[in-house]
Amino acid sequence: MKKILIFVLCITMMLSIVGCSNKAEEQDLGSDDNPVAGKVMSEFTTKDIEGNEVTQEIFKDKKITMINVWGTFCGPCIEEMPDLQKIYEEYKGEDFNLIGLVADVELGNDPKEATEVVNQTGVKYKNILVNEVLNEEILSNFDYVPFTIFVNAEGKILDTMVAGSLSYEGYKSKIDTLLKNEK
Amino acid sequence: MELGKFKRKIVQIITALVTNANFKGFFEGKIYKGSLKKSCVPGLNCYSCPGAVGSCPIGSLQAVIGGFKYKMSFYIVGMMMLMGTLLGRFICGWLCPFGLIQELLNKIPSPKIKIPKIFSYIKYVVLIIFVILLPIVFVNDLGMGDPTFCKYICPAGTLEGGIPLVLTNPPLRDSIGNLFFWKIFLLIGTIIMSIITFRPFCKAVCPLGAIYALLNPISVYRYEIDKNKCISCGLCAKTCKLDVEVYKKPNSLECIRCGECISICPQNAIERKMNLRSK
Repeated sequence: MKKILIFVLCITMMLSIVGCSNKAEEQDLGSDDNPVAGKVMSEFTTKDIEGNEVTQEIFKDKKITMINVWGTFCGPCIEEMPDLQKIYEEYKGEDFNLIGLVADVELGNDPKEATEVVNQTGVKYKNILVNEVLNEEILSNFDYVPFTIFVNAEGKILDTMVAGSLSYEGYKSKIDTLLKNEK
Repeated sequence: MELGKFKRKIVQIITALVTNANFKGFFEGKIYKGSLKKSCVPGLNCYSCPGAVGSCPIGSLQAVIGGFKYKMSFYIVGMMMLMGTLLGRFICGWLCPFGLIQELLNKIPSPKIKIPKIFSYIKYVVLIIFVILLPIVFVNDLGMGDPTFCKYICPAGTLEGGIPLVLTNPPLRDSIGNLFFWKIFLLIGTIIMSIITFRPFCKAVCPLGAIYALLNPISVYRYEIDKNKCISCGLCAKTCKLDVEVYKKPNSLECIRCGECISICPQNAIERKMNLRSK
């Protein structure tokens, strides 16, 4: 009987922790606890879904590069891609770039599903495939897609991130803040 | 606790531990993603449980049906058919971690109720509508559907996957919304129901239980009544927590093979059998 009571207590505690911590989080929207924050991306060479070579140089040209990580199996990822395309269009002239990282297509594999998704959603920004470096430094730290991280011109991953999908306005406000704050 | 029940509890606990042997996942808040996950465990155990070393058959089935690469996962259906035709609902009674959780909850002293028999048909509706039809019918432009059962119903997913991951993952905590609270509400409902009635989720909701139930009457592992011994006293039916009239229907859809009827039968008229044909 004792065991069962402990079990029930555990569940009650877990539930109350979830309940409380949520409230705390709402007050403090600044902290994101990004597991990859502060990391500087190593050199890497991968390809986009069209077969063009892409390296860490891609970050150099812009102050902020937003990396949206998605999977071809993931409904919510694909659902937000038209919004991301709108973001891409809107910030084209600014010091900002957006790329996609296809979490479930490794370099060397046929990206035909990813291409199908990209065509269907009307996405025009670059979508790159996973290689060892990208897997080790980004993907292995997350258990879910979509998520979005931001990298500066030196290839350093910033604190701000988005877990899961976000609204068009939500992305815009994050990007605006980042563009303002990043020197 | 008498020996038969004790043996079953031990098997249930061992299976729950083996199924969720990636213990460090609970501390790190990370899911094991190795090659064992390409295979399913027999019971309902969420893929997203940090400890899980295998996938959930229902979750896998939904993921494939909802994806746009394939229409149906013959691999998963095959595995379920194989396990179901070998063992039937023995899996529910002995090998399912979520069944164990409900049984432990039921040990909490409280007034107990019985749920009406008609409720046991709900699980077939859940299987057909939420697991199979909705992910096929409600699709985006690419033909992808939501894993409706996992997303909107399954309390095992909330308990084993949702809560541990949200607790250990601050970015995920930021992203919770109404869906999470809906699932918590269902989980609390399931917990309360489990305290006051025996295995309510298995009886009424579980789509995996529904599949194994349909295979229960034809599975290799089965119960048989020795007509020469049975005196139709009805003790087996009275003791059965799933309201099966064992002496009339030893291989009922609802029987989870817990074996309590076998222990109580004064005539030892109920036998466990492993055979392809009933006599």
